[in-house]
Amino acid sequence: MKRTTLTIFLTLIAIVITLLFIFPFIWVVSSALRPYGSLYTTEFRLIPENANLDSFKWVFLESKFFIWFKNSMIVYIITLISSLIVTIPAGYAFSRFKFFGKNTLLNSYFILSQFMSGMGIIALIPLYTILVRLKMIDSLVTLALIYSASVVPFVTWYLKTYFDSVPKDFDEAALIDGASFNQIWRYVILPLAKPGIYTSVIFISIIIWSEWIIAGILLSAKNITLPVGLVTLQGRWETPWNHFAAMALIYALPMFIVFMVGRRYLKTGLTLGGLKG
Amino acid sequence: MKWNKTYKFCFKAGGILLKRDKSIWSSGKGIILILPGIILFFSFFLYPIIYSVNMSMTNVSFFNLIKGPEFIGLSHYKDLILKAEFFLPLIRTGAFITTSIPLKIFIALLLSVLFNSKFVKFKQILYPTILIPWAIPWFLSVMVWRGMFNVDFGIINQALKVIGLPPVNWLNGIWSAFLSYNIVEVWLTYPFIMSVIISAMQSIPVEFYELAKMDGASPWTIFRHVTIPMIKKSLIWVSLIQVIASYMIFGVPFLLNRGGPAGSNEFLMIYGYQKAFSQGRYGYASAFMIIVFIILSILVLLYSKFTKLTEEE
Repeated sequence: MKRTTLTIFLTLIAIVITLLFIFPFIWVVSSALRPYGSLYTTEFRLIPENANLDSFKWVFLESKFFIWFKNSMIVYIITLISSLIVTIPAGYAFSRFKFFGKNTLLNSYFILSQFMSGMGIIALIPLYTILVRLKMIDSLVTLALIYSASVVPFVTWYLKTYFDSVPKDFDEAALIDGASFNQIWRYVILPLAKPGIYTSVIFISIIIWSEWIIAGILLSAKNITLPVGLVTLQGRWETPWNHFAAMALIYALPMFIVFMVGRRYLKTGLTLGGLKG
Repeated sequence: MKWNKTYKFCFKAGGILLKRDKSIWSSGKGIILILPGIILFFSFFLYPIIYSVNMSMTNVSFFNLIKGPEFIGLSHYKDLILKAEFFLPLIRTGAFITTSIPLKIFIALLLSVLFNSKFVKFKQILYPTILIPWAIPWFLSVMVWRGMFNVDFGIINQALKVIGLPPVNWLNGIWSAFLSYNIVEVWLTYPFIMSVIISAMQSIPVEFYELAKMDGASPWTIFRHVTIPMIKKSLIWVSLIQVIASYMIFGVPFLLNRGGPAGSNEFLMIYGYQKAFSQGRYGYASAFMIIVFIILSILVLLYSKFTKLTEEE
């Protein structure tokens, strides 16, 4: 008898606490559905009265959503390609070859990846002045290169640990049989590394998709990416809150799905989640 | 195509070294494969930081950026250390670290105990649900909290009104803003800390608990003398990571009220950022950030020493 009351009591507490902790999330969803006039009333209903999709209409028809989205996609694609071109061979080399200073370098990559967010802000000041002098400021390509540089330490380290789990025999055999480099690359290394590369793509996407500090400094108002756009949208309380909430939801949806589905597989990236600005 | 050529070159270069070595893997071509990444990282992160040492000794600012600044020696450092301009943001950051980390760990520990308890049902639904905040881009969450903290129409003040309490001007008071940062920071990090603690708790062998129960230990004694010692290592690790993260804190106070009111809550990163990008004093801000960077490196080295020690145990 005592056990069942305890079970009911603790389960109820857990449910209440869960609802309390995800309340901000519920609140955004409900304010995106709210008509403008009823935003400032004290009603705690999950689905508000006169709920409608006007805010979403605003996002797609009247806002600058698609311009910002296009900029974000350009940066994202360049970042993804350039960082993978650089990190896959590096991860492979760290895993297979022996060379001078390898362990020191690998350790410093790991340590660097632990405090990239702070280093980004510290390096931003000199980087800004350098880029102004070189006239490379306000360019999506420059931004993408900075992003891919920022993921090099973590992704290289991650891919190294991934290659470690792939047996050496395959590529060793191919090398001894005298396969050309292109052949080894295309038929041995890339197929073996596929799952590791997919996970790296997720890591890179999560980091790049929500970066707004560096982009906010380097890009001019007409060139901004989606996260910077969202930050400026709410900068001076000019945009109605329900419009902001609707755009925020659309923006967050892809990452939300990736995160909820891939949470189990992202265990190695745990520390990254604990280290946001 | 160009990349293919580069790789071919790499392998030819490696091949020359190959003939000298007995093993295929102990050759110099590894270095060539890691070089592009190092160059990329060096040119966008390490070189600027080295360059900022040079900048910190000039009066470079928004106005003389193109014309060329003058060399002024160590006078920025004198201002920062002797006139103590560095220490106020440092003390604020220290205060934030000492309040937020015990709070984070305490709340995450409570949640973990609750969600690890065998008396709680529906865990397979509740646990992923409470981790939802983790899946939302963090800066968006901060902006949502900013809306909730609003004096006039924020949901928190409305809730206070319903209970019959006076509204709080959350983001415009020094202490209430500091408290808001703590609340938001706890909310942003509890999913991470909680999942670390829960996975540590689940790796404790069941026999330990059974033995303790047979000896007639109370739930509190079991928690104090079985659970805590077994998860101690994870707790220390997660706290150290959070010390570094809180030392670098930028986004939460910046998005909530720019380290306000009137700069009274500017932590290290915000202070340097504002000096550079609101006031255009790049030289001064670089000197400031160099000191911040030195302290950060010491913290990170201590952290990596510690994690190495625990790995060897």
